[in-house]
Amino acid sequence: MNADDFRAEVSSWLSQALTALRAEYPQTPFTDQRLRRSFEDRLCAAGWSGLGWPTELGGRGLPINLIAIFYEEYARAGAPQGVNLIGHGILGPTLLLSGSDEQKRRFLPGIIANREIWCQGYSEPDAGSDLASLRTRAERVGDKYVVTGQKIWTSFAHIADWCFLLARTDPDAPKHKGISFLLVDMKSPGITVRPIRQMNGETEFNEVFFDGVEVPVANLVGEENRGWQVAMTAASYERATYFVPRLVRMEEEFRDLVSVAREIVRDGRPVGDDPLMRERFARSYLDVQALKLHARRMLEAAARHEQPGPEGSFIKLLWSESHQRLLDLALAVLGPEAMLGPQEPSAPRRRHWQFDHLWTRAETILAGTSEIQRNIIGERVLQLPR
Amino acid sequence: MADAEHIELMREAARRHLARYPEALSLTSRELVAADVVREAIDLAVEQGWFALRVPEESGGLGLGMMEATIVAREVGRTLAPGPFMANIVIVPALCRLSDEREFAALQEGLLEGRTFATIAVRKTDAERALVEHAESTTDLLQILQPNRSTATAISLTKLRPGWVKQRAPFDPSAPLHEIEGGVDHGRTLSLLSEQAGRDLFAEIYLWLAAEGLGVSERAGELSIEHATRRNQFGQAIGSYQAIKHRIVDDYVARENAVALLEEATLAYDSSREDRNERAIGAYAAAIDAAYSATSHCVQVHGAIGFSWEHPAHLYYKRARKIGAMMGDALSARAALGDSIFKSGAEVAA
Repeated sequence: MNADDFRAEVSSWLSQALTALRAEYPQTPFTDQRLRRSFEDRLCAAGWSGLGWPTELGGRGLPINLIAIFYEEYARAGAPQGVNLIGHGILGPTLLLSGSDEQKRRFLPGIIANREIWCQGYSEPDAGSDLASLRTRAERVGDKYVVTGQKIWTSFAHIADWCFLLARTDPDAPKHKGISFLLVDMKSPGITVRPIRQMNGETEFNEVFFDGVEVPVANLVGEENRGWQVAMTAASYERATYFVPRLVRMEEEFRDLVSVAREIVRDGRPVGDDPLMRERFARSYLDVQALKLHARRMLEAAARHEQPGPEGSFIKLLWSESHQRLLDLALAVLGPEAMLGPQEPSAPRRRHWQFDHLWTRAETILAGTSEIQRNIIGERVLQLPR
Repeated sequence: MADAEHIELMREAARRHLARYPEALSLTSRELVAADVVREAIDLAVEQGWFALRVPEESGGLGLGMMEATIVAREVGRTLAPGPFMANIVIVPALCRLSDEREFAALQEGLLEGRTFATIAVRKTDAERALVEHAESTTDLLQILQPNRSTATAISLTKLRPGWVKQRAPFDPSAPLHEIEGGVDHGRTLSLLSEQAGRDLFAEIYLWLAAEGLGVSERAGELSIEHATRRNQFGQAIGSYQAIKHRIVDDYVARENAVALLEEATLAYDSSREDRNERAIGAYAAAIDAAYSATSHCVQVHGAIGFSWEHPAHLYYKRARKIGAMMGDALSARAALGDSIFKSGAEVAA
């Protein structure tokens, strides 16, 4: 399909869908979880999911350039974030790469239709950056695994139908070699979910306790004790879907912030007339320009089906820290108005700057901390000693 | 328009020819590069046809773009090669293109015949000291009169006369420095075609210096990595310590950004895109920032030996800051870019 036609189709659908959404939820901010689920359901019902997945598995088999266009238009339209990002973005691709035919048939349609929400059971209180040291135990008993342990920072566990879990199946093996990847029904007896409030006031993540939870062997993805490899392979493949919307969003935020800086007057002049502010804007402008150039190169490599390398770490590091700089600048531009908290409704046509600012403090931590990304770049790209 | 292979060949050739530097500067045993070492570098450039790069074919040149010129600039930065390269590879041909004045054409002719070489001073006000590099190897002085950060109004051209020129101890020991007494009074003032011509002249200067700064930052980064890998303290290579590793990675990230921005900026300039002036100053801001940090970290990572005259780290540090002194540091370049963002429509060009 022609790129321009596709872009027009996406943008037109989003426009009418968002108009309908706003009519139905006139007072509700786009950060509200029920509104987000509702929109995501509509998106999936209209066929806007599994864009790159094989058609024989219910996907649309689109090439990467069109997928990138979809995400650009999505971000430009300011559409709400879904709640099943983990299902669409991580578990789905993992099953495509490592799942059995049976698992693909059973689980992919539920993601595509947004019927089943997923959460990711990876981190533990003692296993964050050092994830391979995880201790949640999955003991093989007949045709089941019995899972006991605790996960933390599990986003959306409070609404999830399913959880994909990394658990230790061989405590005697070297740590990366004794882990298995399991699919767990969140309605199973023995699961307790405790929400955790985040810095931005939302309760999007949780602690999840597993107390003798039974998981059928059929829900093992890949081979027993090869779970680490299953998890790591999927991590590097989602280059386009992860970064394209974030970069587009950042560019939109930059433009909006310039407008806000022109509007707000302080010390007798628009904030945007202050040379010190201008220098900071220029810094963010260069951040966005550089990110776009790197992303373009990354997408070109993905389109050539090149194996992903450490460039994902590079872009993640650069994007997350650039985003923090931009949202730091946003608070500086807002001035006294920034005394209002993230739950305070924002002015019409204005973003939720305070909410977004606080969320950026998570962006340098999730999906590999900045420190870990620097280690990866230093060791794998620059060959510095470990 | 250049293709990737042709660019690579140019880069390899430039690197090969400049491989004798910085050792040939003999700066471990001298305070200032010798005039005959500079002379040899100029001869090398003449031999390689670098002064013809930006001259149109119809005037006897190679008719190449800033893309090619910045390849040479980057290798000059990597090796700290001495000589009035920017003035003669970029500025003299630019003035011929951006002005009708016959004097510039005569200067270019002389350059192609190896008779005349120019040096430049960028003058913001009359009161400023006119400091020029390489007065010892050049014949003509071009003073670029600059009312604001990113444009020129006029150029003053004069023959250099020994009586006006006083040697000064330079910050950057790889380039002899002189002060011109009497400044712009000596020159005949020549005009550019238009305000845009003034901006384009500066765009070329920014692109050259961005590339040179990148070269400096690249080599400084390599030296840091080599040292961090070899040097052992407390039982391990110091590059395994995160504070050192991460600082080196940050410099790498900054440099890769600057490379991407410079490539896009030279593309924009060579295709006369509307965003070329803004791109050039943005590329310069990113590159000079990367150069400052990579070179300070190079000294730091080397410890005390990095501070000594016996190790080349200080030469890279000084070359970066000499460039910043001449054309402004990252802060001032970003201030100019900020002005441009707020004056226009804040369209972040793709």
